[in-house]
Amino acid sequence: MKILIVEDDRELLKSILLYFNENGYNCEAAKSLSEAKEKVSAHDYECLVLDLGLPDGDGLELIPFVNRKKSETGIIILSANSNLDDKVASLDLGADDYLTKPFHLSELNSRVKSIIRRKNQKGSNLVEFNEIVINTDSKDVSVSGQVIHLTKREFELLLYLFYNRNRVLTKSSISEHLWGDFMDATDSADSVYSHVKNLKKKLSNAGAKDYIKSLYGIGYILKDE
Amino acid sequence: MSEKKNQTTEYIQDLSHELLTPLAIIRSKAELLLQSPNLKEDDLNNIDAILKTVQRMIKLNQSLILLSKLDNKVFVDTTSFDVANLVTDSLEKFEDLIRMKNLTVRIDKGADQLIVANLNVMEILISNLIKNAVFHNHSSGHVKIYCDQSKFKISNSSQSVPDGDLFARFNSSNSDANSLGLGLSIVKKICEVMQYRIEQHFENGVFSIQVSF
Repeated sequence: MKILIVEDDRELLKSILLYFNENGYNCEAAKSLSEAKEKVSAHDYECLVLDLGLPDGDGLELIPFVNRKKSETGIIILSANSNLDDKVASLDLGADDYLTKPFHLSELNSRVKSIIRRKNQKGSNLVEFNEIVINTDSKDVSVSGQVIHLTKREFELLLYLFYNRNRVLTKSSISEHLWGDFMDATDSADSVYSHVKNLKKKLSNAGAKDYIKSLYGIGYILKDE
Repeated sequence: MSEKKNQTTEYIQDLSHELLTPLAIIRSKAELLLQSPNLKEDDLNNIDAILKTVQRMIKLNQSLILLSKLDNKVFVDTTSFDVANLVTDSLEKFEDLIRMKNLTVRIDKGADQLIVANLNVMEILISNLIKNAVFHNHSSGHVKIYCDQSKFKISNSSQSVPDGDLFARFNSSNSDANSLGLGLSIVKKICEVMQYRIEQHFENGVFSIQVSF
């Protein structure tokens, strides 16, 4: 999976590259609009992570440039602006998703994986993790062929854990993924706890192994044993 | 507004914008540290404390950005929309919490709910009021909402009425350090900018807020 990260801040770029390289992506980086234009004209990428505020121009200028070349490239915008209008404008120009700074690396990772899956797996909506099969289209989950019924949030939680498997996810990162950023810490910790508990119960009742581990009450990790 | 105040709020808006990337860097580094193998429980707790503190700073900063944007009258463009739809959409965000607290929610609508306003601002106003009614409620309590084209009224069961000026910035009767208590000051600011009248009332264990458009 080849990805281009366009971000002008050196430290933020380093963080994204580290997190992504350990997730098995093949990442390249560009720190300016001109560098990014050069790279997209020379190489094919499966996904572009694009910061809007670049030193030599607006990141949005890159979008028509990419799409003319190869329509399969997924584009995620990173923006400092949470304004609804900016979001709509980016999506209208052909971006696939929009994330506001400061984001969680685990959230960015989950969105990139989701886009790549949508663009690549033509026809197949199945995500498999040992005996657990997740159908991202019908939102069905099965364990060893037996369908289990998850609520909308439990489904989103399972997919988030799966996309970030073998990574520690804090309760607040999970909370923000499920409910957005309006929850206060205390309430979100309780809600996350009860949703994880219910999800674990449903999975184990259907005979799945106990893959979701709690870490000293800080967060959770989905581990492939 | 005087020109000096305008310059100050613009300056605050710029500064809080400049804070976004440093905050993103700190958060990302702590998230990476969290992935190090063989961390002891103490290490994990320290990293978690960093992440929670950054989270508080991010939320404070978001509020600063919003308050200064309101001061600078950034949200001027208006559209016509159904305020009842907005209420339903906002409630959806809290449905899990409503279920966990076992709250009863009732929405009543007037004959006409079409209003002309800035959608962004109205969304923030209504979600903050709903959030307040859900969070400062007791279990098995209730939330009642009434809306039409001229007003939005929300009431909730509440154990106690908060002391002092409820709408003052950084005021929260909840002593939880992570609960910022900025929500209602944002509501007050929005009403000030949009020239809406806001009234609060507490009687027989029921707290209510009414905004007249």
